[in-house]
Amino acid sequence: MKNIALIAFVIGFVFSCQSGTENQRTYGTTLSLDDSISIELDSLTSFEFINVYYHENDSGEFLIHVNFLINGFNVYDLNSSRLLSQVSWPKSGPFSMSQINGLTVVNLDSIFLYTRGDLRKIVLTDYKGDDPEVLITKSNTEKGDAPDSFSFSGHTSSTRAPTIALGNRLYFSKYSNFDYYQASNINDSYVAEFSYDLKTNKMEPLTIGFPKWMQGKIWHMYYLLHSKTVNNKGEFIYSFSGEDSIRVSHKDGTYKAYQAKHDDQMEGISPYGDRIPPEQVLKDGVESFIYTQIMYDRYRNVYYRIVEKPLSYDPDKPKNYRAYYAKPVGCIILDAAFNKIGEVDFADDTYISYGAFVGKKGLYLPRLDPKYKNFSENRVDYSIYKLNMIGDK
Amino acid sequence: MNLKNFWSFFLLIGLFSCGGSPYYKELSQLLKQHEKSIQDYEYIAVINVDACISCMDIVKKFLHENNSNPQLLTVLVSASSKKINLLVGSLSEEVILRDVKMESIYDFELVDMKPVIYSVYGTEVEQRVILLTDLLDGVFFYY
Repeated sequence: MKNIALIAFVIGFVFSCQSGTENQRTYGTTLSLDDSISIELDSLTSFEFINVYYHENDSGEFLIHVNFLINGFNVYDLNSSRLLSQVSWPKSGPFSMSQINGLTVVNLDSIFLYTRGDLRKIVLTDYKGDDPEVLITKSNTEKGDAPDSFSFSGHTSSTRAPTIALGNRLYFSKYSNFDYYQASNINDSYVAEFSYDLKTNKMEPLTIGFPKWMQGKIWHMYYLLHSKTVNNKGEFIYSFSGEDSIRVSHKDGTYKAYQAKHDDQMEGISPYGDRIPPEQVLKDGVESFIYTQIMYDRYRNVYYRIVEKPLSYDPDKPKNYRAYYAKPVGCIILDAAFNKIGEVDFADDTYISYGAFVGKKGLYLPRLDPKYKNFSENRVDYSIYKLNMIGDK
Repeated sequence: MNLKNFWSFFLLIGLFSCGGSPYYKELSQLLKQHEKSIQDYEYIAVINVDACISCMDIVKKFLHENNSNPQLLTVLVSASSKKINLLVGSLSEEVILRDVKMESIYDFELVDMKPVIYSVYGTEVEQRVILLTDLLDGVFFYY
């Protein structure tokens, strides 16, 4: 009898291991650490490179960093890692901007600047801050077709939700200032995106809002924030942080969802029944998958979806937002048709899930984890990950 | 009162009399490390400057307005010493404490995202979490 029990145990053990192995999908594509760069920082620039924009032209590659410390921006030559220009914008006068929080680089002679929380005024300038021009925007609410919640306030312009220039329009994202833990605010009239027509100076709401399945319920606030990118066909791709899928706005006007989750995520997210205490919010945020950024790689025609992976919440550690920084970071790779073709988990204690960008050489990840062993206030190190087939060198 | 109850009572009295109110010990330790004393201030504002990196102006204005108020100590918490340098500028640092190691967050849990005002009454400390914009209104003095 003892032998039978032992055999049953061994068989059960073997099969349970096999079952675990079957869940581990293998992919033909991966990201490999290929190169790195270091950008030296001057006394007016903090290491917090989380609002950056990449630009390439015939003369090279550039990184434009929104420098909150000087209410302006820095332009770096990525090939030499040198600072090309540093622009501190005036806070008073005809071209003033009180708090620059984002920008769009059309080319080095045309950079749009946006101020925090207010889009009534946009400034156009060049990479040296010369030849400024002011654009005064107008709402199209006189048409009566804008929903009640549409307004210029609450807009965001960041690396994860960039303001995209396409054709004659700028496409803005909005993170509302309302109470995200009020179910009635998570409704179908919410406008997450709007566009500005450079010819008519008018703002118009777009039809992207909270996913239907999330509406009328209470969620962890981070799940409701979105990231976006645009591909070579002019299709917009939206990624809500709590969704295991991305949403693509196809050229025919339809939206379609494509699954783009980390393989370790076995379950979807759940809504709350009621408002919950802050520590529970923190615990749930730390212990869940949060998809922070979607990027299109135009050089290789693929997409990268950055994810913060769950970490077991330690109640004995300080109970504050910095607990998120300890979360492991990964990336899901999608092909041009939004099929998942790869998944990568990056090294621990090196990266945070913000500030990544795509350049000619690959995916650039800033080493901004507080535990990064070579951290310096006077330098930002980037790892450059190259897309390749598994087995390639 | 039997002997066991007597010692329990004694222990409780001891704990309450030595510990002070919540946050008192943490604030005292933080300030002591920076060679300041909690008893010298009526208010201590702890501001996590990294929580809103585009809100520099609000904090800068708050520092300027209160730099000559000896009763208010402002603790600036940031991983970036450059950021604190730019905020402080040429202001007197008598009433400013630079917390670049972020001990207020990691070790003492005195602040998270929103600014916190501590009112000190002897060994009693009252905590109020406020909005960043409240710093400009000076509303915390009227509670």
